[in-house]
Amino acid sequence: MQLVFMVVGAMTILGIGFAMMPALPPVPPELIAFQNGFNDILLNAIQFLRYFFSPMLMWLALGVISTVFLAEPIYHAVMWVLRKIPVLNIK
Amino acid sequence: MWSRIKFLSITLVALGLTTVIFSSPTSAWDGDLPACENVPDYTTALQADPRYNADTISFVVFKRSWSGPFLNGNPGIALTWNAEYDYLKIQISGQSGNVSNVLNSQVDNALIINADGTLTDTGNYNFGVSDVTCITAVHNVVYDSTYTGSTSYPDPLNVDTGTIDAPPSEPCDWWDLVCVAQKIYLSVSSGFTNMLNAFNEFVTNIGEIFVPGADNEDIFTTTFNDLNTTMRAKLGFLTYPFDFIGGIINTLMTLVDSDSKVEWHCGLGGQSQNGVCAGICAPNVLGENSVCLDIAGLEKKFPALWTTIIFIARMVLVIGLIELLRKKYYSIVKA
Repeated sequence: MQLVFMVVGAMTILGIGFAMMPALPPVPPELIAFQNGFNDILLNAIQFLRYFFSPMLMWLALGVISTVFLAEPIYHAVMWVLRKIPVLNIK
Repeated sequence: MWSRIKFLSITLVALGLTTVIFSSPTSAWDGDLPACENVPDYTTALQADPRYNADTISFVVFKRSWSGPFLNGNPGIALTWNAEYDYLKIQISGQSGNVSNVLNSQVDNALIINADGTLTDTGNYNFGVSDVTCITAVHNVVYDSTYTGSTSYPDPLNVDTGTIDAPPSEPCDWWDLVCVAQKIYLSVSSGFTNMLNAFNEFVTNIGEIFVPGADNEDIFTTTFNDLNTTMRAKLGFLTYPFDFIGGIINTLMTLVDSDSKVEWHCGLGGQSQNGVCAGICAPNVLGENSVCLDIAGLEKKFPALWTTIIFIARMVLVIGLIELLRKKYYSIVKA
């Protein structure tokens, strides 16, 4: 419960800090329109890929690509833990 | 020599996976649904509700994970099974052989079980197999004389309040490479899903250590939302890069969020998507008429050519993914 008060308190102080600072200019509507347009194009491309390769295969491809990206840090993290166990004698 | 053997093995696995992908356009479900644990006490509210009918509501289906949104955050769904299409009977009998088709169906008169055990009437509702974590019978299930299910499966007449397991899968014949490849594929995908679920549970449990009690979630949510609103108003254009990246991630998540992994088709049969099947259109090119690049028209007009093209494309993709994994594996091991 103390942790809750601490986090909420910190967020409140941050909120007060933000409330006191002057407001910066908002995002130009052209940029928001560009962002929406880009997301629409990306969504259409994904839908086309799902049609062409099937949703299941695209889901698997996303999983494999994520695995490839995450494999190295996970491997190093696991090896770091294993090296801390003297019985295993991993260098 | 070894490199040739490895190449041959990879090619065989790729061919097997590709064959599986083509032989099972829908995601076949071949595992046991786990027991319904830690579900809210729904039985009292369900049986006390005037909409509850013991003759028609037989089963309760719970979502795979309650952490994400499921029909406005409700964790469970009570089903009124249509007597004409007794889907679960088909599932238990194993005659369909594909529970995805069964569970991707529309359900009539669905009652949603809320987290506090109350009920909400939603009328019709579509849901997919990936939504389901378990099925629980709320009373004895009586099957009529037309039931022709597998005799190797425990007698479904004995199903009482509890979990209904899937029928045991038949072992593959030694010569049936498609069956073996399908088993391998299902094992890998099941293991991957279980790994993700375990990781999700781990993160949830870690979160619960630091955020004890469900009431505190509201406090955090309200405070965070207030801070987020204030921060956005003050930081203005500085938040744009984060919104841009967030938008891209949200769009990419459509690959994961979709319940149904059923293959799409623009020809006869299958599940069609209007956005894809209509083609890419440029409006008002010829007067007020649009000009469309109808890529999906190939499937309708030249189905044999279409089948060949997607076979090659999918095989190339699968081989590419396996090669990607192989290269990553050796780059890590040799490093």
